Amino acid sequence: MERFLAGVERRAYIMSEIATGNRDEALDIVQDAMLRLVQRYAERPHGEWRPLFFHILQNRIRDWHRAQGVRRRLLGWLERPRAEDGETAADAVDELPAPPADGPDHGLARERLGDELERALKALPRRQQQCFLLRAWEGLDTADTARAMGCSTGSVKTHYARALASLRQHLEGHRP
Amino acid sequence: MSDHQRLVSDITRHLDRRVTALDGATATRLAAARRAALEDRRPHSRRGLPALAGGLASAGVAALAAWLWLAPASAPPPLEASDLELLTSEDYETIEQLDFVMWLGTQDEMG
Repeated sequence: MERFLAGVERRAYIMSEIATGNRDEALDIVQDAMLRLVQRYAERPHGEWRPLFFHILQNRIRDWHRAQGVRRRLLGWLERPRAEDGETAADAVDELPAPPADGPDHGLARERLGDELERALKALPRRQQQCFLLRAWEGLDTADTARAMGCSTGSVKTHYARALASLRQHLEGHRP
Repeated sequence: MSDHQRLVSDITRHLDRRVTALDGATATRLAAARRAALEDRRPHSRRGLPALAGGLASAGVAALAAWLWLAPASAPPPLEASDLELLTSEDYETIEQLDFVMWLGTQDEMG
């Protein structure tokens, strides 16, 4: 179990961080997912741990979003200035000229592309984002992704196709 | 490689780089969270022992009840002097194990 958790914890953290945009919340979510997996499913066959773990993780992320939604509705007037700050910062980055990919600023270009890729991922609807990360990055097959997301394999295929289309559209002009 | 495959490859490579470049503080906190989760498992398994014993006891009572319920109805054998002696004795251990003693008796009869 320890080896399994050590093998997934960093990717789980990055997924949670992309989903929440908050490092501390992401850490809490991963910790909670690890705790629940150990408490409830440690005795299950090892092959089931990965979809179970990501199922718990995705549920925790969903719960976090729900809680945030309620909080935003209650305290919308407090949240608004922060959102506006974020948009301003994003706009400022957009206005920067893109350095050539093969020039001396290649590292910077890669970093900028990375930022853009991540922004595109964060902009995806939550289910599409989950689906893309589980399928494309975590390498779960369609059935395990469906298990982790708690939906049908057909829904997984739909979410994945839509995620790819959105990412492609978002990143048009940013990729070499 | 198709455009979609290239897109997926670009994104996953970026994410892999992020995993590799994860700062030490976050990695340490993740490792601590993992240890805490695994540590939490041990007390649970210790707490599980009394629960297991309770479960076994309940199962035993249920099995005994089922056995008494399903046992063929027959007239109980007449009491003998030794039975009275047992019931009036202060040999609590024997009385507590009465079921076991009765079962031994049936085994003797069958044997």
